[in-house]
Amino acid sequence: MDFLGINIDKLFNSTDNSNPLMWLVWIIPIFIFMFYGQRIQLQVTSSEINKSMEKLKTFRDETRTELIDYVKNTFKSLQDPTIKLDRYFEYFTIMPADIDPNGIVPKIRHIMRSREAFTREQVKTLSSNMNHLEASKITNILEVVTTLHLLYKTVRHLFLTAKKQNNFPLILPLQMMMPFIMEEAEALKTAVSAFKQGQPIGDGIGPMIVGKMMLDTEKKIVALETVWGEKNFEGRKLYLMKAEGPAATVGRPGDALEKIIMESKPDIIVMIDAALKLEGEDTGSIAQGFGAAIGGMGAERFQIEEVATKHKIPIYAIVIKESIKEAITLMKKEIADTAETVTLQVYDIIKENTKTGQSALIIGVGNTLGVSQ
Amino acid sequence: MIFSKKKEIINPYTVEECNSCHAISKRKFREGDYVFKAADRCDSCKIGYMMIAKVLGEVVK
Repeated sequence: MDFLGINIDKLFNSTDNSNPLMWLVWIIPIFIFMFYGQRIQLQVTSSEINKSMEKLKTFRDETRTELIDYVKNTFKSLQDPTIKLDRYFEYFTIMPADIDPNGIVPKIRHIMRSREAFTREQVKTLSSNMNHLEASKITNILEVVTTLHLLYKTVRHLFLTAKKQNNFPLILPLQMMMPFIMEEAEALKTAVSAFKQGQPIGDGIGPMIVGKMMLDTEKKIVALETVWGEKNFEGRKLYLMKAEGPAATVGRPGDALEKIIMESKPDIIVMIDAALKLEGEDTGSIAQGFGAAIGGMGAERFQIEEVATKHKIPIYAIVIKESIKEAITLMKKEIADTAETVTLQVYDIIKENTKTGQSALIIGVGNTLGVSQ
Repeated sequence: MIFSKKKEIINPYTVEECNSCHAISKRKFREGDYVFKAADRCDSCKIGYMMIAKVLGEVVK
């Protein structure tokens, strides 16, 4: 075909090095990518982050609406809680100065507890007829919305700063972190449904196991939202402790442990908790080890370790592996089905590490939503 | 996509166990259910009482 007198085959003849047009076809993109490569990459990366950021915004808005609707529908006589709730979403926590880390843990504990107490009291002011269970559910959903709001604001800040400065290297860490942030955000969004319906979450496996062990015992309050009971097992005394269910709370295991040790010094401590699985590990796989199995900021773990060390009490741990999403959403069958096996393991630890006449403290660590005792 | 994720649908169920004959029954989760909540008299032995033993989520396949 030669419509305009141009021979296409000759024009793009790649074997002919003297062809100027072919030379330009190769050389121009090299210069474009040399001078504008970073900007092109910035545009591509920006559009990806922008999409994730929009999704993050939708998650935040949807959970916010869900919370407001939940409060409105549960307490029908109530005034519109939107303004009050919107104010809570903006609350922040300033962590203590760590230039001199000596003595920082009690400061962290004090700040976190002040925040918890304040939120609990503020939630109760939403309605005069709010019971403890409803208050705990709302507090947890509020925490979800606040976290999503903070995630969205942080991502937006980093993204806009990189765009404003036209700075490609600045956007790279954000691009790398985005899949992890989105995984956490999706988990938080899914968690709202379980919190609203009062369903047990994956993190509640520890309290579920200990709750069953303490079913026919007399339950006593030992610390804020924390209960304990006593029972005998093959000549040994067992002290069983967990957060007070079925409310959505983790209780105060640190304070409770301190009080129980003061009253009746146990010979061993066994802690049961959910733990984040590594990629490739199966959900519901069980692992046994040593040390305080408890998550969070570290203040509770510090307190437990300190008391146990002071009284020279060994700590044994059993963890049930699950992902971050499984830990805060409805407890999966694979996790719930581990209860019997873990209970047997706890009894084995007690038999192997205590003699007749000795005692053991068993702690079920985690959020006890939907799990009584 | 090589790394595309499948969306999981999880249905909530309540598992009840009789404190006498240990008969187990499974039903759909109802709001107000919680683990270790006392339930109705056991239909199998008519002696014991059912108690919620587990509330769990099963993945829809």
